[in-house]
Amino acid sequence: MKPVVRVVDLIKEYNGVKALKGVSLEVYEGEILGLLGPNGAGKSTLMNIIAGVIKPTSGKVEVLGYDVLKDREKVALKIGYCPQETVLYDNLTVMENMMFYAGLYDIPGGEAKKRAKRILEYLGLSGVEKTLAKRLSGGMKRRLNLAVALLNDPELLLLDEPTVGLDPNVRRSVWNAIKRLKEEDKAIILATHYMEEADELSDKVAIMNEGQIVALDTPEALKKMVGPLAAIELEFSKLPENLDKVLGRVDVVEKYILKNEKVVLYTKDPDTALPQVVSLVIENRGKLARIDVREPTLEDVFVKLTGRGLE
Amino acid sequence: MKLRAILSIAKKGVLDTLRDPAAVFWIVVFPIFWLALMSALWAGGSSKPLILEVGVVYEDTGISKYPLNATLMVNIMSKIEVNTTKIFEVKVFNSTENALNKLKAGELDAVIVFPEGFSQNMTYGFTTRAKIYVSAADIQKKQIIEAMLSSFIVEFSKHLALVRAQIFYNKAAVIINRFTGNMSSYILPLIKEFIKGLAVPLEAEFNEVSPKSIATRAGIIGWYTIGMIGVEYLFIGIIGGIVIVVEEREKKTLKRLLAAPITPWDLLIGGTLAVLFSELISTVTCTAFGTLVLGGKIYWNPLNPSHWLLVYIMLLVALMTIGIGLILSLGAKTVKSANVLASMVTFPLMFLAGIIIPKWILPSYMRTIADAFPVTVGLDVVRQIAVFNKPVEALALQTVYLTLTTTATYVAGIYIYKHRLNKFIEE
Repeated sequence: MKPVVRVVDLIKEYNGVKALKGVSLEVYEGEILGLLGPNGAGKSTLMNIIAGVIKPTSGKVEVLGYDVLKDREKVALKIGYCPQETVLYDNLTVMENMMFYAGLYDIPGGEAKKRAKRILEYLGLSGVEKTLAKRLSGGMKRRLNLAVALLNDPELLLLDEPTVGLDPNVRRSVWNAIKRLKEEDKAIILATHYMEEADELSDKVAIMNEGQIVALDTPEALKKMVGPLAAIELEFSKLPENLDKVLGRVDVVEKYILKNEKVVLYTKDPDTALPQVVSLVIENRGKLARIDVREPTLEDVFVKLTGRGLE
Repeated sequence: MKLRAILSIAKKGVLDTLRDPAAVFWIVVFPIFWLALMSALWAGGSSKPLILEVGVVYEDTGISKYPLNATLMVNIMSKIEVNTTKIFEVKVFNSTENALNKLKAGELDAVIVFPEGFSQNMTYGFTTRAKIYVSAADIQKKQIIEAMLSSFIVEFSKHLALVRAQIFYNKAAVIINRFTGNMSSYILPLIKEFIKGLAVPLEAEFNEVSPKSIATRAGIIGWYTIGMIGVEYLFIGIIGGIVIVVEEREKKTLKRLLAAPITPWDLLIGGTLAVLFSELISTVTCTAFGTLVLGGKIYWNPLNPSHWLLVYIMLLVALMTIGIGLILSLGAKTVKSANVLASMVTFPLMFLAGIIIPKWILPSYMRTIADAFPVTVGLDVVRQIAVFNKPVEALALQTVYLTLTTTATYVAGIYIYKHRLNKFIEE
């Protein structure tokens, strides 16, 4: 099977600083590739290059066999791009926004209106066609952003942080919409820094850090990279004295990450580790607010690979 | 280039503008308000002449003894009228000091002091002198006061000279009659004219002539209507030109637009069309209000093919202002800074480039700027056709000049647009 997207050794430099350092990946029909990484990891730069908005310093990007640089317009017709920012015009109604973008894709008026109505209904936005975009809620704006990306019936969808800033219910409804698009055999690249989003939606996840893909596999395979470890999350209302020394004294803890008032410990033996940690915290005048023992997540994979958290 | 994409971009720009109350104010309300103001200021009917308040001091104690005296002069002065308005308001003071104090306090425009012997000298035919003090509070008003008083004194002197000449002639005629006998009927008229010529060696007649088409109120309003259209083009075109470049960046829609199968050309042409549409609305507003409401006269005959040159010229002026805006976009990154920058450029041009203030009242160096500024050249061509009803053949040179400068400006604007766009994309 031919890939919908093929990225080969992509490098992008801004004033001598490398934003992408040799990225390669492939995405196939009906597949969601999650790009997981913190802000500045290079996810948006990669998306912009695939969309043909910016030119790479070197490397190659093919979409459905077309080179994005040489056949930019042909590629643009096949891509639906939903950037991180809201791309709506506040003084235009929902339908006027849709018709404007349809015009950019050279879709005739009648056909554009039909498609717009269908997509708005599909994303739960029917009934607000005549509402000015500025009067929509944040969730509706996000869905309209996505609706705009679907107007040209794309074979490849580039979704850059499509749920950022949304409440859990709205986020869930956007996820459902993305899942349905996958069922329509669309290839989707989903950039996110929410690990649960990548975990829930992606067939494969590319973990990006500082312009590189540090791991690329299915979420399950990636989580196995952490090993047969459990994660113990401790949240303090008062940090114990000499926390580093305290945690170092627990033999069964293989690794720990301290962030603000929170510590994540990785251990193969949570039954032994947990009582030891609790008693040491109390001895050192610490106060615990919450304890959670859980399976490793993609964030834990990221931590293992990069030594730092996602945010 | 794709027509549907270009029209979509233009339509989006138009809708965005029409739903922005501030934009509607500047495009529709502002020109109506300004035209009404201009009409009231410059074409609001007959203006009244300047009235001077003049203080008079009689230091001359011999007034009652002589038939030609200072009060005669003051009486004549206080009766002089321009368009049925008396232009000298005379107040008599008992001392020079009191009068000068009032002058210094700004309560008088001038003080005339008639010194001792004034009436005697006047009656006996000697040179007589008065002292005149003029308020120098305002340099322009001072010039006007001096000119008005000088004119009066010249006229009065002429009158006095003629009276004296008549007296002299009457006495001389008796003697000449005695020596010339029958010849006197030939000689006396010649001598009379000669004496009159000695008294008044030169006479000039001043007549006011206004340019044919703006001599009327309708013509003046027509002139200002074209000026107002020019002001609107400056504002809308320059701001619009800058906004074409910076707005999509500021709204963060630029990258999304460029991910669509369009080119920067489509964006530029669509944006330009949207600005042209706003300028068209303003043109229609100004023309309709200026002609239908204020009664201005604008010659426009759609059946006359040469009148279509107006459309071409207006289009060039509009493109010129957009081109200036594109170039100025080098100095702006946001719509707000675009507004500030455009105002900084537009306001001085509006007043100093012969657009709303006639070129002939500008200082000579500003007139040079106005003569070279393509927008003014374009508006002058429009005025020549639409206000002065001049044949278009006489305007070929200006039209070629405007075509070349507009092309150069817009091409430079395109170059800067592409440069800015690339910079914004890479940000």
